[in-house]
Amino acid sequence: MMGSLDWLPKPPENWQEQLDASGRVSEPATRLERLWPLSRYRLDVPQTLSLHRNFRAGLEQTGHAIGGFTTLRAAILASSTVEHLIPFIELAAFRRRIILEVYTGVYGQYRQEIINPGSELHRFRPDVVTFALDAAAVPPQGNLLVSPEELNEMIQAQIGELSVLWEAVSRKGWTVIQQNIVVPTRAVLGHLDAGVPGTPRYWYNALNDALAAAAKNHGTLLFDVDGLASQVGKDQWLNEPLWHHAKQSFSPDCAPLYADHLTRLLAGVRGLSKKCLVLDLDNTLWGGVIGDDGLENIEIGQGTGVGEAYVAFQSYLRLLKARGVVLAVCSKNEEHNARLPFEKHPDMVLRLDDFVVFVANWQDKISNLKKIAEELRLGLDSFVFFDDHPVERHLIRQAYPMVEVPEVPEDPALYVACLSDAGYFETVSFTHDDTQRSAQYAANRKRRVSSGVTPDPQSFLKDLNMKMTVSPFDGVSRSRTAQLINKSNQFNLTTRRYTEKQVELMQRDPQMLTFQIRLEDAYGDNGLISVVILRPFTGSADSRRIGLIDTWLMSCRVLGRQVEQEVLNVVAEQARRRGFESLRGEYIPTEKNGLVRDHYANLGFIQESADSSPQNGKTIWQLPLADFKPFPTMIQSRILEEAQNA
Amino acid sequence: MPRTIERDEVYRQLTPIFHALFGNPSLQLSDAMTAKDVARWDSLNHINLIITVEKKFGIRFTTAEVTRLQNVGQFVDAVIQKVGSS
Repeated sequence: MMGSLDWLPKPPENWQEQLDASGRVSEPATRLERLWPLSRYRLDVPQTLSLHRNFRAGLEQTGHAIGGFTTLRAAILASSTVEHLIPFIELAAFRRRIILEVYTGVYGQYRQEIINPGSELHRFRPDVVTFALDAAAVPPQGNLLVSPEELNEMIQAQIGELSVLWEAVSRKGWTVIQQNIVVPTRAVLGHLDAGVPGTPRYWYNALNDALAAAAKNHGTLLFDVDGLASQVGKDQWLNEPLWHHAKQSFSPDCAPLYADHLTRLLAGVRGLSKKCLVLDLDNTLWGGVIGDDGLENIEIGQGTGVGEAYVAFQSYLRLLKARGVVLAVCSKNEEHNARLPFEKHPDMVLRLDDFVVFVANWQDKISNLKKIAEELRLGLDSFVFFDDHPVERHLIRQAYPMVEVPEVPEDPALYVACLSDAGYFETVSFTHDDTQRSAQYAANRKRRVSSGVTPDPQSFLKDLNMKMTVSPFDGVSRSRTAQLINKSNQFNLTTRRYTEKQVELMQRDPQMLTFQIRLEDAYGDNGLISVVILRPFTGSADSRRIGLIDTWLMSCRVLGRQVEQEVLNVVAEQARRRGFESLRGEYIPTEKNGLVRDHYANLGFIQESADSSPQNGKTIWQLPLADFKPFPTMIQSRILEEAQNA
Repeated sequence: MPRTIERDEVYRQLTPIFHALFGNPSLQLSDAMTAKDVARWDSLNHINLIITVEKKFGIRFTTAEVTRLQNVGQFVDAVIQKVGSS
């Protein structure tokens, strides 16, 4: 249905009973874990509100921090009423395991709130600020006879005003999201409107184009609400009675969809988007069952509607692959049958080498999916499982609640819409590294296979011919740096998340030593794989001599390759040159970073006496730099001292 | 073919909506009940009530009605009238 979250399954009959039972659990963390699965259904307004009430209750006492959930503070500064959207937005975030705190000022007052440092907004300290302007807030200027040149000047003036606000907000280190304007469809002249600069339609279209360009320039994220409204249908999107009655800028029917899209961007800021799409084969990539119907009879290719629908779906999957989504196959089939269409069928768009992992056997998909995750060294929470078979979907949902499992439509013609609408792979940046992702994962599997047959790990590492490049944070790689900071869970000592804006502030801070580390090897470029942030430790008297390792994280793709030793060699050397006498490391345990519990011990750091360590299992480590001897490694490193600023 | 709907039937269908929206499963609806009598029936939830009722009965309230509907009885009357004329 228009405007609803069709990729989510319908709630089960006993949804309300489950909610009542879970709501009675008193321990906050347990209650949230029990309530969370209930958020992953297509809920109506009353269901949304009652689930929202239930999961918000009790969060105040915990200060909103609950293990396994990310917290985020978002301000929405709007020219219309948005308060009613809060439950929808907070619920959509909860579905993504984000405990979101939303602040909405008084509508229309956003300029004052930004300018006045004593305002509620400043006290709220948002991570992200969203500017939600509707058409009425930026009315067309000039008359119907305005010239394109005059119009352009007025548009630029309007953009200039907004940029001032963006700048004020981003200077605080807050990430900015700017909504574009939902272009009104009602015509003045009729079809001529699109070509006459003086009409509202022309004005808003020009304004949106200019907004998109300015946002990209400024590093502001664009929320394409006009695109969303167009997809729903603008007559459906707008509810005139509610606009006039309550200044709600779109129909509450569309609130779940709006909220889902806004939180996609927020999740993107937090690096929570999915990485790998696991696909079934029969009736998912082609019509029919290859093992029964044979190569000639499966439906794929031009000529029949169904065959063309599968071609369209495969073409879309190729686009996803090109933008960095890792594709895998998980099918119940004889392997040679499963491969046959890819090898022999002329109408297949996808080829075997489009998939990083290809699993076709008769084992259950629960264990196969786990195997795929292990092979790729990706957490199951990075996966989307796309399968036409409702039973398989049900089993995966039961076994792995962290895996996203869309309700696959019956008609393959709607497969593309399903995947696209669900927005699992939403990203706030797109870099060259993303386009190489599939190749990188494939190369990694190759490396692991070859490490399996090479008896001597040292000579395997030597043959890899690894070259590491270390440089301070720079403008060119900032998006990718922020991405890595927000995505890395396993090899991450402190799991501190920083937005792109905060990364930029660190880059400019002369007190900080920042390191972005790239690795190339015989199989290709691994891209940016590690980040270290060093700042003066301010917690003791002679603190200026101690360098605190605020952040140390690494992509698990390069585990076991001596990268961490080589990184320490570089960091220690640079820290010494900066006048530090020792390094202070911290390990803050989370559910996911057990891998690096002994990281500092392995690197020769000395643990501080236990009683000086705070609770929560955090451990603190010291490394005196005077007698530090670099680790011998098989990695050649190159240090670029100048940042490539942009 | 105009649809018709009985008063009791409207009450029967409105009750669970009120229970879920206002988080109170023991709420007993009556014609004279207004927002003052019901916790959480504020201006925000008033809108949520409007659109949930619209959806449930397949009707659309006008701008004037959105403002005017103040008690349960008026809601019921409006639903009967709209369903009858749709």
